[in-house]
Amino acid sequence: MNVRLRSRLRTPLLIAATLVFVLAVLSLSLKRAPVVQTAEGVIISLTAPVINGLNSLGDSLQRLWRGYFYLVGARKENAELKRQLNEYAQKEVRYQEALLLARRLEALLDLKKQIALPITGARVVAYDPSQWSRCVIVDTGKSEGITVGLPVLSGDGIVGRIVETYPHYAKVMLIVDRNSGADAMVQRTRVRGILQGKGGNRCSLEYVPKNADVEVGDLVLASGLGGIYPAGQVFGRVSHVDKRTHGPFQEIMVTPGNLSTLEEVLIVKTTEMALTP
Amino acid sequence: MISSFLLYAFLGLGLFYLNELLLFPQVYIRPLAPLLFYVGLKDSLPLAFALAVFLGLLQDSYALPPFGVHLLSALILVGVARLARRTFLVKNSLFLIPAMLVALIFQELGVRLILTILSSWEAFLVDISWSRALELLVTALLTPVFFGLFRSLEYHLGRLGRRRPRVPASW
Repeated sequence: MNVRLRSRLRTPLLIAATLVFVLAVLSLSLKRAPVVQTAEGVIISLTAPVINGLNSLGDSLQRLWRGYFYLVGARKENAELKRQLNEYAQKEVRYQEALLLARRLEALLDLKKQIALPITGARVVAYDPSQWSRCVIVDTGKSEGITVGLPVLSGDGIVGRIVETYPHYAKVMLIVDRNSGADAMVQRTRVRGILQGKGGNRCSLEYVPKNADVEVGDLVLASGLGGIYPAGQVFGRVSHVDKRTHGPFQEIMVTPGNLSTLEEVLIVKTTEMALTP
Repeated sequence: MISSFLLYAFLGLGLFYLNELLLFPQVYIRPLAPLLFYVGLKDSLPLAFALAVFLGLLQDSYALPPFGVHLLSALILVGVARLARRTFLVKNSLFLIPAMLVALIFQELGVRLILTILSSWEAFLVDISWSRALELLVTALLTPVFFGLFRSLEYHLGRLGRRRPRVPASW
């Protein structure tokens, strides 16, 4: 009888225990309990090296194929040209920004602003493959001096910021994630707004009045307010403007660089310059 | 049970790595969903729950908070698989596809509901797109292929010494 009762209760007890476990995990997560971060850290530390290793193996095989058996010279030349093109594109943005700044302030361009930011390189080892959030894991963590809140950049501009750190890895919330928000401005007209992640590969520039001058193709930069992202760095380009909306603000969509194919990123190891106007 | 759990856990890890390294971001499917559905249909409830917890926590670690959303979504799949097993007995691959599609839709709704409870009511309706519908549909269509893969893996591992299931699956 006792055995029968026990076997009859087994399934409901198992379901109840699992539900309690799920609710406990969700509750601890919402309270930002350290145990959740530790568990995450342990899982990532155990599983990410395999991804890293397989990635490196894949890259090596690809390099071997492309570099030695297939178009030896053309690949190198192409990579070099792409690197140069990226460099020139970044230079162009910086020149434009410097020019506008110089015109507006009519002379006093402070050379200190040209000081390079202290940065460290990191490799993207994993993505969040679900469509419910947008983040990546990079192979640089606490032991390399990475802390929560540091901005992350790529050749195309701002990528996101560090939200979790583990011994040798860190989690980066991309600017397109729905929880991401930052103060931004349109480079051409200095119109300000809040850049809000919209999921997928889109952001929107919120709280921009209808009479503000914003056009498709305008570059959207970090304003530096809020102390998260360095001022003048690129968020993306305006891809859609709609002034026929209800309310006092226009609807502006901003498309950043492709954040789904990131490979290497730069982590800015300070947020001090973010407050530079 | 432990050997079965280890087999499915390694299989799950393999599918997770496959998704990370080869599929994402070009191909949007959910390769872990057929595995959970398979185990939910075929094996014992404790094993299915243990695998759901393992794979759910794995996915949660690679996503942004709240931690536990993927865990819940994995459990929903197992739950639907158990219900499907009881009510309309999945007999062949033709029935598998709609059953899996229903499970994926329940999973999507469950996640949206929990995100709505945890954040705001807007979370329920965000990102409803054709691409997401296609992701669910393609995953459901590929389910028989995945099931074939799991069964053949089990068969070959059984020949290597792992105990085969006593009752063969009806499909």
